[in-house]
Amino acid sequence: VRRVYLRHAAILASCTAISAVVIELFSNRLIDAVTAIPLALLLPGAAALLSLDGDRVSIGERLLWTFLASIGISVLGGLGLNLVTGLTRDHWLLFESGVVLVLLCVNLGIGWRSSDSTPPSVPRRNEKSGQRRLFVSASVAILLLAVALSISYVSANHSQERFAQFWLNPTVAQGLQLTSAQLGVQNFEGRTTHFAVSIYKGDSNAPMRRTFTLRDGGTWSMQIKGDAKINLRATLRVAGGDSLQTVRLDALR
Amino acid sequence: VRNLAVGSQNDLEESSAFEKNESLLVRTANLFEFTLLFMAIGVVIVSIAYALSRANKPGGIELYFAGEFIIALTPLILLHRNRAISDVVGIWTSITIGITSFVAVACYSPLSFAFVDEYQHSLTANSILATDHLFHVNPALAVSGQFPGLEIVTTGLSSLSGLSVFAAGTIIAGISHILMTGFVFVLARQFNLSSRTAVLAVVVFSTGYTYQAFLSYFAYETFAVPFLIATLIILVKMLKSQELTATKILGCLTIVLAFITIVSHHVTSYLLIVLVVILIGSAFFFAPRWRHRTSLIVLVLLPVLALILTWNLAVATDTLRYLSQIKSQLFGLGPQAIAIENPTKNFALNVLGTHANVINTPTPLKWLGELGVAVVVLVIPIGAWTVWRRRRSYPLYLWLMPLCAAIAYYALLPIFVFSPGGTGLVGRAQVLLLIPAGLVAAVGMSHGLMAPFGRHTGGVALHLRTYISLVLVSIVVIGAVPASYPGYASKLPTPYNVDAITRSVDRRTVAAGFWVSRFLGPKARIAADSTDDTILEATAGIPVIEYSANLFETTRFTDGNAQLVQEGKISYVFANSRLTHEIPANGSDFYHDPLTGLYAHPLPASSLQKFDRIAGVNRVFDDGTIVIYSLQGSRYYRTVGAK
Repeated sequence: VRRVYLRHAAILASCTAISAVVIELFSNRLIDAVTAIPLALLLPGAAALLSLDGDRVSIGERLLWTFLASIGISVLGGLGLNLVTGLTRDHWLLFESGVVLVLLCVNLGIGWRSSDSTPPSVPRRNEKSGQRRLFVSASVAILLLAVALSISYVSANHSQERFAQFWLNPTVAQGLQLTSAQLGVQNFEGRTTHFAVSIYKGDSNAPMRRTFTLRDGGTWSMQIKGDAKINLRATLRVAGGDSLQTVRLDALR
Repeated sequence: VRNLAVGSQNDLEESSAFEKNESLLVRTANLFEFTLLFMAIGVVIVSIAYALSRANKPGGIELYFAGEFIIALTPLILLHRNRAISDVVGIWTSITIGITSFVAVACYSPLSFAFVDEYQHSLTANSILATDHLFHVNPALAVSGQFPGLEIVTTGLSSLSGLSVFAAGTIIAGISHILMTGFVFVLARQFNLSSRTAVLAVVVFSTGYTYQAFLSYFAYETFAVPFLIATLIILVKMLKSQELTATKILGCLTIVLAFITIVSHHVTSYLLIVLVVILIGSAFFFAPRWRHRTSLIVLVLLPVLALILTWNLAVATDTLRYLSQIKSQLFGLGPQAIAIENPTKNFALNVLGTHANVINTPTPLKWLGELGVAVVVLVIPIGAWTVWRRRRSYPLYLWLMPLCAAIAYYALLPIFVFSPGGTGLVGRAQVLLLIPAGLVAAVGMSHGLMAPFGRHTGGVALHLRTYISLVLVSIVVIGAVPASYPGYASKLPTPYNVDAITRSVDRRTVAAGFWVSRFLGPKARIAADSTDDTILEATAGIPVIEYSANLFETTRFTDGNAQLVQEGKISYVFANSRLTHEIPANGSDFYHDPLTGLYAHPLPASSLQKFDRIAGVNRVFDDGTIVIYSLQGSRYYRTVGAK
């Protein structure tokens, strides 16, 4: 039994160390996500529940308590870090790794003393076959859920609204006397797009033109010196499109 | 599978003998495999329904209900086919209910948050990420920063993984949602229910008005509910424990879990305190051995009470003010600072028609929902009577708390019927009360309705009763689908519709909200339609102006409009042109809209275009659909400045 405890503790400690090192050394978002999720949501709880008797608590229930304990530890840790240092990435990493190691030591102490636990029994043949079938069914179900999410992701991405934000916002004003305004565009077209902006001052029909290209989510802006007594108007046209967006600052009368 | 053979010592019902029969246990496991697969297929069907709606193809709503009905009915088939199920099958069925209902909600909006409250909490999360500290002022929802449990874990995960707040928040909300159903099963088992009845308790809980959607959102209630249930489980374990050391450890754990609930959500923690007090009180009065352990009871209760008082008085100081809105919702008192002028007859003629077009739930589905609630209402007394009659098996020191919750469940009925704004309140209270009251309902269903399930060797009358029971319980679960939150108009994610809750939260409006946050700030006073008002409040902390209907319900700028701008100090108008193309799904474009329920046509285009013709009004933003006008240069607003 002690050997089992030691083995489990060693596995948890290794997983924690690997996660912490990977998060610290790599800056790849996918690798960070894959290692950070168990470090934050699974390992602290698993360490806390290490000495829980496996024969009295089913795997399902153990998993529930593991997640709850991990999340609970994070809440308490977050409140503590807020008082002591701050919730920076390094402090979180130190806290999550440290708490796993401390809990493992505490649980090892408890596990070392207990002598009445029984080692897990060996599954019989028909049980093994049942486990295999359950594993296959669970895998198919997970695959189906992944398919459902993928369908939704693709269809939502495909049907997202395509548009561009266009603004002319007074930025410096002394009282009501406008001295400067920001003209800006942000691209939400879902792709790299060419834009043409025309700026009209007063009653002039000869606009000042600007053309530019923005990737999806990209922003273009320029400052225009304003005069409270002159109208300022600008239009935006998306290349290849026929819609015209207009912004305007009216002269004070 | 090895655990299938582990029968529960606490099981009261006939399952113990049954669970020793290995071949039947294997059959239970086999049926569970089908349950798993069918529920997953239900989710795929729901996601196809969403894809059809996004592609503007017909058949989406029918497919949505088909998928949801499969998800809801499948666990019942498992229960119908088995007089008893093992603990393992029970807990995994409960977890599967949580997983499938969450994934179905996640499919609704897989790219961004869909519910306005989620943006309020992401403001708190973003402020923590930006400053590395808690308790910042959140202009959108002041109490969000004061109950930071959800945001602590989300930002912790986000910091470590580099995931966005949306991705990290969705993971945390998903885990919380799954923990809820799993822990309801564990709680029911602690109350000595069999695994089969415990799954019924989970099924009853999952029929709650806000269970599927609202309790899947990135919101503090979603996060706090599993801690509430876990606290109750540990407390019940403590009350049942015979060993002093174990009792002390469980008492300490109760305090810790209660503390996490307290720092996570106000109403959930208040309910927790009430339930804990009832449980501890009933243990003191009805369990003789606890009368001799008063000091232990006090040592658990006092810290919990001290923690909630300290947190609410010293940290979450905005809570009482925030919760005062419950009073105004109950009595229909809107913060109506300015009387709303009715639209002129000529204007109303543009909008009115022979038939108002409100998207209501189709009558058969509406009846199904009401019938389902009625069945639960009728089943609870059966359960309460069974608990009372068999109080040796269902000890009163444990069951007084669920019985009190069941009585409170009935108290919601007059609020629902008589209160002007009671629907939302009742819906949110109902799902919380269903955690304990659902245990009583499950006993009622198990003994009153579904008791003969599986006994197919009886006569015709017994067969008939079996199938009538199945139909009645099925009505409860499938009736909950159309009756649940959000309403019928918002069941599908697209196409955009005005006044359709989550269906009105699209990329364009949210992006406009962020633009307002960036350029105008939370002090801007913006008149908008009610849907956009809530989005602006959630994304930019803009205060909602609830009396601006008349500003939009005129075809030219009138003296009444000018007075409204001056008295309301309205500095911007958020003009969403979709108001002039679409009829509001739930019947009103604005708060306190005089035309509520009367819309047969959209607003005329001139109701928004008139702002282009007012001298000094600036058109500061245009995204092709939404235009924001600044009134600050107009003489009407300048009069405000002069005042």
